[in-house]
Amino acid sequence: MRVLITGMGGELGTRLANQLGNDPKVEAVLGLDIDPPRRRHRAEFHRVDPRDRDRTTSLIRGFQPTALVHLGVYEPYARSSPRSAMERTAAGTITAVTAAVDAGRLDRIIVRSGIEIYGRRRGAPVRPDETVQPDPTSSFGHQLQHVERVCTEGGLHAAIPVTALRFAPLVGPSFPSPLGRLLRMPAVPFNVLSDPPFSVLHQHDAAGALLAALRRPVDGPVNVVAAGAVTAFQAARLGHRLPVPIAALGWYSARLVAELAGAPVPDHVEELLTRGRTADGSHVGELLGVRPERSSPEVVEELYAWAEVVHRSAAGAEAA
Amino acid sequence: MTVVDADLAALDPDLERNDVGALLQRRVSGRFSVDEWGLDRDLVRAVAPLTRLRWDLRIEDDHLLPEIGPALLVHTRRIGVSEPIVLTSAVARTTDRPLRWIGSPDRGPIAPLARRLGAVPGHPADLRSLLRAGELVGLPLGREILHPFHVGAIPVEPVAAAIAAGAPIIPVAVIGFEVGRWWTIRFGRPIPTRRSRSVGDADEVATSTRQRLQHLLTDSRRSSH
Repeated sequence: MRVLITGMGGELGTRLANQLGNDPKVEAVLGLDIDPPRRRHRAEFHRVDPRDRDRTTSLIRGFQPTALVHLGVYEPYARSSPRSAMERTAAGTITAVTAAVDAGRLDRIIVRSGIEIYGRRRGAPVRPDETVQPDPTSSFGHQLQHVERVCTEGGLHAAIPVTALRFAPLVGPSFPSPLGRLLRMPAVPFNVLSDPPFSVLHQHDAAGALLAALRRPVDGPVNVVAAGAVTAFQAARLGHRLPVPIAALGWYSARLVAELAGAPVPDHVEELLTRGRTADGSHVGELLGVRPERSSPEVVEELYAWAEVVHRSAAGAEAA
Repeated sequence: MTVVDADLAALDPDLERNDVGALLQRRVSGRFSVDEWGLDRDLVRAVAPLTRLRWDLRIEDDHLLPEIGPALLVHTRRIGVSEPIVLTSAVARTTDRPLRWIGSPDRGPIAPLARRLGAVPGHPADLRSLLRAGELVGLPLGREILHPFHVGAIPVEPVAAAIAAGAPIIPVAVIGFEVGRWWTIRFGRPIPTRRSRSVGDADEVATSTRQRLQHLLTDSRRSSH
């Protein structure tokens, strides 16, 4: 198997590349991203802007991938601004899928999507399963819908399975995400009128699902959601933060304050805090053979479990 | 010997403290439980004594309620304000399980509180998801304000969802006056919906459920006379 990983510079891509490095069935791994990988691994990596169509296409055609793992889906305010995230995601998806299909050897596509794709419109299901039609209500949700559509069209063109892994919001101690950043603020806003529940997913569970989907592709979407849910008030208290009650127009001020404090709140995170976000992930076990190991409250607790920074003197370090 | 450290209260619900102090302590520490649909078990425990003050329940044939696994409880309603609450209370007293009632508003002033107490908006996907998760789900029938002892048509879609999940359907007669204190909840014999049964049989199962529920209501009326 020759695996092409777009968005390899992120936590998920780096982890997946490391896991594939030990797999004897994997002949070669090529990674593309605008940011370098977070850890060293044996895969071949090229630092390239997803908007650079010519260079991306040339690299992919030269590599001749048999599997495409498309992680080049940039969440607004995770690693880039909303505008840049949208441009990189849209251009990178079209280029990667087109080039990989045109290379002629592709037999599977695995794409990172999210449960933001279901939207939280009035009357929408609280806990949608994979049969519910996407109806996004945030810019990130629309971004994901476009990504899934391009990948599905590519899959139809090449007559190969396309697995869309719809992850719950990803958070973790070392994972850059606007939700994780907001929850780690000293004060966390919560909706005083409803404080709806939301589910999350740990980055390691997401990487496990990617690996399982790569080995056993499923043609269609699969929700990957940690069991259980938490509310914003509950998350704040689990992290010993101050929950700040917010209602109606107060969200405008809360967003402003959070942005000034270094944790900008994109619209899909505000929607999560005001309307909740969960999905039915009960099919992932039978479809992929793996289940998230951590529950949503456990993921949130781990988010706050930062190891203390210990300053050692040079003499002490040498002696150790 | 390896000793596995574990929170004993999490393993044995009898060890979980549910006095006011413990509820408040869990609230402050964030170690309370809210599920994906919004049910807050501590809040349900806190308001349970209030329902005993307001309503007096007579529960009949409660041994027919399952202790484990999913079930769809199809119940009658007259006006529909008290019915979900008295049925939830009856189920909790019998099995100590929460009842999720379908059809609460999605937005509005009472929606958040209703969801905290177990209500779920009536989207078919949520019903499927609840039954797959092994929950007891209450499905209210159409309001019968003028003819309280008449059972109307039973919607086929929820019945098909129960068949798909292999969840039994339990007819429940909920009888009482909206402003009154005394309510009778009578559970009927469960209608099995084995997984091998086709979802196409939903019409037949819905008709059978309606007949049993009508029989239950008529029987209750005779016995009350």
